[in-house]
Amino acid sequence: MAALAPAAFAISWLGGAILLLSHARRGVVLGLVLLTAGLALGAHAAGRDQVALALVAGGAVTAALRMRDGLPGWGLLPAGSTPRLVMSLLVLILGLLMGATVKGTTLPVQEALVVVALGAGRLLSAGHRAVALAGAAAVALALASLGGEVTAIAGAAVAAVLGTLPTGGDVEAAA
Amino acid sequence: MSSMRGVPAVFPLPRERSGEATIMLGLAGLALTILAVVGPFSLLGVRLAGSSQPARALLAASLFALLVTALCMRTEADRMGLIATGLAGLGGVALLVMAASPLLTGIILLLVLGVYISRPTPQPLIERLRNPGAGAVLLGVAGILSMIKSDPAFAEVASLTLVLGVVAVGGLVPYLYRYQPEQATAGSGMAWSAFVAPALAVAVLTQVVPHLHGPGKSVFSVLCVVIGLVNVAYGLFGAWQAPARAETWRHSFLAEWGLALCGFGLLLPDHHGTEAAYLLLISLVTVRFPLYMLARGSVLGGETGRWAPLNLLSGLALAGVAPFIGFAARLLLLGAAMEVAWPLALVLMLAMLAFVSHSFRLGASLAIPRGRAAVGLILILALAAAMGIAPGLVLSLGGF
Amino acid sequence: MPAELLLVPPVVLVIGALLTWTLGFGGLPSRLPGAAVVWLALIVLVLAWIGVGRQPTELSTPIAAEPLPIVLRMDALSFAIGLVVLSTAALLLTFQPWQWEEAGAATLATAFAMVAVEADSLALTALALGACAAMVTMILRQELEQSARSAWLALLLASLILLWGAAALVTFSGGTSLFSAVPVQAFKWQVFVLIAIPAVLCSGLVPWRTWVSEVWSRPKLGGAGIGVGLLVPLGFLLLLRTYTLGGGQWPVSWLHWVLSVLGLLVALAAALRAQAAPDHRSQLGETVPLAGGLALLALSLGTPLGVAAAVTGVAATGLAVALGMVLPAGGRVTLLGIPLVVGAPPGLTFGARLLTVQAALEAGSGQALLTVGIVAAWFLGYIAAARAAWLPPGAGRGSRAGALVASAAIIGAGAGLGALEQFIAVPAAEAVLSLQTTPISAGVGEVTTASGTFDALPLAIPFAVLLVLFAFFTRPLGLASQRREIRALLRLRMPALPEGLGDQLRALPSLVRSSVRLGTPERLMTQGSIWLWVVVAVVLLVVVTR
Repeated sequence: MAALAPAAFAISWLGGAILLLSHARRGVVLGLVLLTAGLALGAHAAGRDQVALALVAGGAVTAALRMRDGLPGWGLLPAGSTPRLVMSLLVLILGLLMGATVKGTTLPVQEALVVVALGAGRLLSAGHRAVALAGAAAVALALASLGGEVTAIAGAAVAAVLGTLPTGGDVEAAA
Repeated sequence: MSSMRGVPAVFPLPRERSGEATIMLGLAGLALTILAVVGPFSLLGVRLAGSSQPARALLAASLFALLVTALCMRTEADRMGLIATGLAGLGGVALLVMAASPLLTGIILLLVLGVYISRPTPQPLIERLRNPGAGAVLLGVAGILSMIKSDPAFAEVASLTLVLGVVAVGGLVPYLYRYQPEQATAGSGMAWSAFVAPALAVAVLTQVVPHLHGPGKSVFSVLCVVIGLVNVAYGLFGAWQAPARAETWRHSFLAEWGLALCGFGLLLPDHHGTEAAYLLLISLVTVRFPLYMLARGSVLGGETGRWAPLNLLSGLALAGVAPFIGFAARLLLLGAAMEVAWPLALVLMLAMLAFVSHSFRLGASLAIPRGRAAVGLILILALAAAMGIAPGLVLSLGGF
Repeated sequence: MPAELLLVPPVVLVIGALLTWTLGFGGLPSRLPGAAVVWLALIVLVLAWIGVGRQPTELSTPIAAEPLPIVLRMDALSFAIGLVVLSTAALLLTFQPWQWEEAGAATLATAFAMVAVEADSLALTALALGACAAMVTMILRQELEQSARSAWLALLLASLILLWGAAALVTFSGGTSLFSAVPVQAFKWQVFVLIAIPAVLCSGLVPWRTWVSEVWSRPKLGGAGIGVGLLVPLGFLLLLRTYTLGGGQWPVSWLHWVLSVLGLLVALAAALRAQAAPDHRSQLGETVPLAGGLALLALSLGTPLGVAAAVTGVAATGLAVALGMVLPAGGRVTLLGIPLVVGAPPGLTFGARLLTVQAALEAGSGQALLTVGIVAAWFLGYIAAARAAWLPPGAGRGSRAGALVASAAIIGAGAGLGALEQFIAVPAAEAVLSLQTTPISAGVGEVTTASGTFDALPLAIPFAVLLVLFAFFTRPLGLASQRREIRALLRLRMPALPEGLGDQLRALPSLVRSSVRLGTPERLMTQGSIWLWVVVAVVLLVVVTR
């Protein structure tokens, strides 16, 4: 089980980074799938299988629903991505440092914090509703991964509902 | 994957059906509000509502404010629209109140944010989402960090993110929202600042604060007071400089929030600081916000300020002068500040005094309320006076 | 008789206010209800006080909870001040011209004043006084827009500082501001200052011209009369309650000297302004701080006679305000009224000043020196009154009947000074100083203290006859031919500021406003990059974890 933790962290970061660095449908969905997998793996490694199950369900639904809107294609590393790229690397380094600092808990805090940071970056720099909702779903899943069963189910449900919300198909300018 | 393109959204809200959908959301919101106000309950063995009694009282106050504001609307369409949208928003607030931890609050806030940004408005997306979005993230981080017990520094950072989370949702300094008076209130930062954030702040802070200890508690206390004072100063100076009366209203909200934050920061065994903050937020929701809504029409219409008796009384109510609810709140706040440090009480007293003249300007900006608006105004002032004369009842409703 | 009677005066007044507004709104005659209910409240107050056997009585309402416990208390002090407040308000509401809106508000203000009088806690007093001040401010603004700035500034400042005082008292006493429950040790000098400042602001007890004098120059005197008539006694009530809080003493002895000297300065400054007044109304306006200053001096002596003299002085001020406000611009009645307002025998004002002199003489050798100042202020007041006969009348119109009634009340109270002391002032002094008996003996017709006996009733008869002869058998006041330039005894010159400094000081706020702009930080916070928010969070994080 202990060997799964580094893998969970790596997958979570990778998913979060792809989500942050992509602004189109396929990239966003891939990011969501990967970060869900990483978080679920972390929960499983902590012996919280029910939470892991809820995360998989919520992540799968929201990722699937995100396929229906947003810009087509992968949209990875569009122009102006340098700050986000730097941020994803910084989050990786800080996440690794956190892993060395955080003691006395079996919860997948490291993975959750990394996904929250990257998801928040996506949410707060989004130029399109679909991308913003994907970022919000990522944060909800990350928060859900640390709570009890009720919180996990609520987080997964919120992530799923965020996937259902309309995006209007418009592309708005990011500030 | 591309075949999923045609999958309809669960809540499509096309333009022609958005009215019906809003009404449905409004009804759901009303049901949630009633559930949250009634109190904690269990469903299938799961406890579904948070235990924050003051937040439930604030929720009820928000419902009152919404109904009174709707009563004052001039046309039936405006009234129904406001009620439906307001109830839908109130449903979101009810969910937040039901959340029993910062973690869950963050999650639910993300849901409310999602619904909020799914309504098309001319405002740039980033401006709409960054206050509640940052708030949700910060509250979530506070929830995560509070789980780590290995280093007291995490407790300090958790307190920091908790306070900043509330500040972000409320759109306070340093996380101000962009205020555009002509923008519809339901889709603006004002709705978050005056309608959502008060209940959220009370729900989160009253649940978390009793569990704070050591450095985390100190950081929370100092940050609340410092950020509170900054907001009071910013609100005062901004109101003084404000070119338009609408801006003065916005800054008055900042100053009132600042006082409330100071109250939250004064952690005392007798809870006078928290009680003051609770009363200030009750006053903000039931008096200041409805009065703002009433004044908005005349301010945007460029009507000249008036000094009729109702305007003067409104100014007095906004200034927190006896016998209105703001008086009792200020009494408790000054008492709590005296217990901590008398210079703080002096600063707060001077700030309260400095805001008196602005409050009269705000009262005058109501112009001459007629018909429904006059009835609504009298109702608001009567309630403010009743709560001011018997603040003990309001406090007991909040579980103090 | 049940303690619930204490509730009757304020409740009756609230009903009267609502009735006045309802009738006025319906276009019906609405002048009488306000005045009638104030008279009714006055009668109920007297009956209630007699009914409870003139013993302190408390009434706790069901909504009695901190931070504002609604506990009412009737003791000799609240009876005395209540009597002053209600009799002044009754005369003003009966004889001044009122619009229905303002009449209702004035009745409501009187109701709040009665709650302040009967309040058993400083918090409730602060609430009621603040509400009363708010109503007065509203009436003043309603009567004449933009011209009540100094009044509302002083009154709101007073309300907020008193609020702070109540909060401080609650803090020091461990959770209560009930007069009957606050430990004496909790009443520190800081709290005293926070109560004294609002008192001084309400009663206009500073050496410069305050709202109390300024409002007399308004063209409409309704709000002015009710404001001064209610708030000046309430200010003194606060000061008198400080003795209750301190168990009959003030926290530190130097406070007696500070306030005594302040009182004397207020009286002298007011007298100086009065003798240089530009018109008749301005001269009358200065008689209030003159009387108030002397009452403050008496009160600050801290002796039973001093406090009794202060209570008498407050009563005399109330009646003088009522009389001054309804005095016509000219005529024989005015000639009768002016001497009574400034303290001619046999009026109550005269008796109050005599008692003040006696109290100062008996308080000690140091305090006896103050009598020189008291007498100087008193006689400067006479000079001002004599000069006023040739001055233009000033704004406002009076009521002949009202002036006659108020004059009769002042003469009657002056003649009955012994009874007034015996039943009202001395019991009030005993109540606040926590004494069983006082070294003052008062009978129906006389007052006896250590320094002598004043036979008020026997002396009143010849003096009253002389006064009436003077008023009704000399040339009537107010004829245009009589007006001529009468120089003031002492010309008042304010030192001028260095050239240009005044303009610069006035320009300072706009300079600050134009040089400090919130636009840029606001734009950065609201429209700038989200990274700025992140930077703020990181900076705070570094600060808190440092």
